[in-house]
Amino acid sequence: MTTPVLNTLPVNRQADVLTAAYALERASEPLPRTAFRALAEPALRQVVEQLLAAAGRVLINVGGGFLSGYDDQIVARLADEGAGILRREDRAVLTLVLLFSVAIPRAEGKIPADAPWTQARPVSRERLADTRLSGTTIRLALQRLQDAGIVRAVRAGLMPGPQFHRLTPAASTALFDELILLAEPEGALADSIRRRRRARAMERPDGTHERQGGSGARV
Amino acid sequence: MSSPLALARMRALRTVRVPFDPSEYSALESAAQLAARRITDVVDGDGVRALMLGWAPEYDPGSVFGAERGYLRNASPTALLTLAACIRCCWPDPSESLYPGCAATEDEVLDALERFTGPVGSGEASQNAVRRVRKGAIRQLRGYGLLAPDSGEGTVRLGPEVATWSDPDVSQLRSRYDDLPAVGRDQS
Repeated sequence: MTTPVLNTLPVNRQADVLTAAYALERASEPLPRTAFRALAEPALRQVVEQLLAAAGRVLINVGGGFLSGYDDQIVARLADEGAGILRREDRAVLTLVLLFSVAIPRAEGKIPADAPWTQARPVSRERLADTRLSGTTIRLALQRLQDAGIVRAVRAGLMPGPQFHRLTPAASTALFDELILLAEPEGALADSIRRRRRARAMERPDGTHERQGGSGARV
Repeated sequence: MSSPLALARMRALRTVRVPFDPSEYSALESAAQLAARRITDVVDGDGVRALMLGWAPEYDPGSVFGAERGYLRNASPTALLTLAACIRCCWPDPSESLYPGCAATEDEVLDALERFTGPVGSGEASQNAVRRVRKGAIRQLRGYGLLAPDSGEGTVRLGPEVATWSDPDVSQLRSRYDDLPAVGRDQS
């Protein structure tokens, strides 16, 4: 094997690292730290992170467990290219699911502000239908979103799916900021978000701009 | 273009076109090696050559069907059985390579499953409910990349993820070919 980051390890530890990296990329739910030796041991975990980084991925801590996700700068570049972007109608339906199942309940204090996306109040399909989107559009979009693990159907309705575990903290913040800008564009929070983004944009002379779309790239 | 970005793009898009420039292809292979990955050459159902990101050839994650590491281990029995029917319907000749196979219709897959399991429950309502669940399994398999995206015509094709299965996995399928759910006309 000609992977430099692995070559310093004994063969057995190389296998441990690859097993963990493979599982991180494939798992649908966060992996417990104890599930893999290369996640439990800090030195091996560091090698896992290096291996992921070589593929534009990062290790994400999810409630004490782990998953992999896209590096923030990488995902910004992919979004600029339009790579892995959801269809327009899928973004619209997903936005509705996030608004009704997460953003509004958080604003009402029914969900803690720091809760994960998957801790949501399910929204019924009927509620989604009470919008300007056609029933067919909603149905087909939900099928695609569910197939991709982005939306999850439970008995009480729809909520963010397990792919939301794969958002980095920055990606998660950016996504919620987008929901605020959408739901209350004239509010004080929205003003604060826009000021913060202008300040960041001015700090980046390298031509890359701050990622705007939160519900775009596939995780 | 950075290596991590190139590999991340491959993951996001699942398949990418083959670069015209051989040096670009070499750069992709080098980037893959750094990440203990490899570039897999696949041909999709339309006969178009594409590249996918696989894992290092020295790394064996175990059979995709394995209970220990197989990524299908969390799939429901319905999803697995539906996958088996899709494979049989899209793979008419086991002496040929599994992927890309040929196109089948959703109805062929559902008929093969009904023939395999026999009627489930009693009455038309039960049968329709079972078909709905199996159609859901087809959608789930599309999400995994095991079936190609829905072209909107009720067509089922094997997805690029199948192209990454190991030779032992395909041999296992080939040895059990006649056990896979099939419509009556496929039975040899």
